[in-house]
Amino acid sequence: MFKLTFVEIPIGPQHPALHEPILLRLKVDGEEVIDSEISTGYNHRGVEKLLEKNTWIKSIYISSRICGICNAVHMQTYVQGIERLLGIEPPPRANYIRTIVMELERIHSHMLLFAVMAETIGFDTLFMIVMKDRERVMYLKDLVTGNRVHADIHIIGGVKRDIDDSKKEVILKELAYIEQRVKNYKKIMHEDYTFQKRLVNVGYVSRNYALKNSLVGPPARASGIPYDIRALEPYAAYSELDFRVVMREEGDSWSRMMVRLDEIMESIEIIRQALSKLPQGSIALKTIPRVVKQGEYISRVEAPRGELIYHIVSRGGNTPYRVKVRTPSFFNVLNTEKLFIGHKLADVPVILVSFDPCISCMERVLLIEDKDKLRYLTLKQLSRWQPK
Amino acid sequence: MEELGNECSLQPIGPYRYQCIIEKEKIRGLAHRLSAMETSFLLLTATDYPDEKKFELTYVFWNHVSKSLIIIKTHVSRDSPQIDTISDLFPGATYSEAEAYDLVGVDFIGNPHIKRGIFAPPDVVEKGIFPLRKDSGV
Amino acid sequence: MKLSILKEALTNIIKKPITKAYPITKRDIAIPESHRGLHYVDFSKCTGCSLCAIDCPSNAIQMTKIELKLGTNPKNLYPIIDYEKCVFCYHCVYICPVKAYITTNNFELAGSPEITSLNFSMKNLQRDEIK
Repeated sequence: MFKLTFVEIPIGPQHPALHEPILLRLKVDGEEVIDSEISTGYNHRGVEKLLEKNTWIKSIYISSRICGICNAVHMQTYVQGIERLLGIEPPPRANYIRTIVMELERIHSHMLLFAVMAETIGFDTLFMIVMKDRERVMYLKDLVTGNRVHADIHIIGGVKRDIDDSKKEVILKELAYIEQRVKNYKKIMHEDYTFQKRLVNVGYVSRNYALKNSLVGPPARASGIPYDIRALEPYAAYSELDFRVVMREEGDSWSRMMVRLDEIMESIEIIRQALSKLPQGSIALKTIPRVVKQGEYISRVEAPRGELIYHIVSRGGNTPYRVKVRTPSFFNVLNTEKLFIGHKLADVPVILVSFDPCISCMERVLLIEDKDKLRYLTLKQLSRWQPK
Repeated sequence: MEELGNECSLQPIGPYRYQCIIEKEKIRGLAHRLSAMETSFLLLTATDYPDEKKFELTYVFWNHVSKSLIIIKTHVSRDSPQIDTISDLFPGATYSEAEAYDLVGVDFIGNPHIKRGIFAPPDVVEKGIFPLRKDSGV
Repeated sequence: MKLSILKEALTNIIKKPITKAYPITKRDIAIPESHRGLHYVDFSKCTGCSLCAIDCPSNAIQMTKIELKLGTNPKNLYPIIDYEKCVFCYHCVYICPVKAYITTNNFELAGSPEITSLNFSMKNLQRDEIK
């Protein structure tokens, strides 16, 4: 005799980072998930209408505020598209500085997700230790761009700030420290019993599933598809830098997290190369263009969570005609709603976090038992759920 | 690239980017061919052109074998905006089509997830307006 | 390996906490010189071109007529920044053709009595503040 339990996860719409409020409905039989469904009530489409009503220069700053964690990549995609429509190239030094800022963002975003995953499986000590190390990366970002979170360093035709030699030394010193710490974390992933038990063989995604459902970013790379825009369609300074596309074959949550940790190591190498090869010259054009000719362009960039695409349509004039933003979490989270079936209830937060949605808004879980009793749980409590 | 030749002729518009413009009836045949070729769906944009009385749909696919971007443009009329779905061949397109319906009003026949209110906020849905149309007044 | 994480946890118990009790231990906060903090205009350099007000993404800059008769600004139009709307993107600082903006790394703006840049600019000119 089974008891039907409905678990509803309501997510509030007020969140500054890219996140769509979603409702995850799971039908549960005892401890096993037998059906799952996602219903969304997006709220960032207001941005697409807003971008149509503002001038090109104002809309750059609006696009940067779509997401808190990946704001530099949003600006890069948009500014790259506008520069392509105008037919101008930013100076080489500006490309290198843009690359350095985007890679710093990748490092701190992956560290944040690793800390959140550690907290989800109950490893609170590691959460605190990783966040302490992440603060050093935020300090580096403050040094280079002027703010810990919003970089605001792109402008049409270049960048607004320069990196001088004293900043270079500080960056290299901090990166050496971070590299040692990340090597430690990788060792923990390989040897720690908790990580092995909670992450290995949980949430398996086959290569075919990833292809058909258009998964992007580390989930696709952990299933054997070498899909990295930095290598496939190089932008900024990536065509002149040497790096490896991190790929794994296992397809489970453990390999998704390992891909991200390996990518942190690659990002550190990229920043070191970019700093040593930084070309001389100006960092921006003399005058900022304000009017863009007619045309359209599809601009693609590798954000920390996956591939970010902007489709920009211009009909002359000083405002865009249509801007379509497709963020990586849109496909990674929405298309994997059926993946939870067959797993235990305590595995649901682990799988969800391994796809890297913005986790801070998914904190409340509403548990309805017997249609009469209601209980609120946090995701952490859900990950330790045991039936009575 | 030659296999798509008799349904639509792909024009290169940049390094590794090909584009073609087709009628809306041909989209399912094209999607059948693409799904057999290790291709992923990437993007669907619906743009409103009120002066030309049409909605233009842009489908973007990525072919993993030849590592090239395939852009397919089609259009539906503003008065009867309907087109067949490709979500059974490309499950990744399901929510993109749902979004195009909810925000612009293009109906995708055969997509089970089409309904209002998935993406647009409730007060907009109540008034029955499609926010991303140029005459929506939002 | 498991031992080293244990050792780290134990040494962290003995050490001082990393988190700084901010309002009490003000002096220890490491903010770089180039942090984007409070900014205001040097009226003696401003020419009244209004580029900053036109481009501000949050419409936080108002060009106001202040009769200063300084010679560089024939229309006597000066920008005043409303800090409650400003997002500190520093586009105004970048785009000014005569580099009239003065920048600081002062981030302690909540609860301060000044919500616009007017009196900072007037004090910079060594003139009386305007209420």
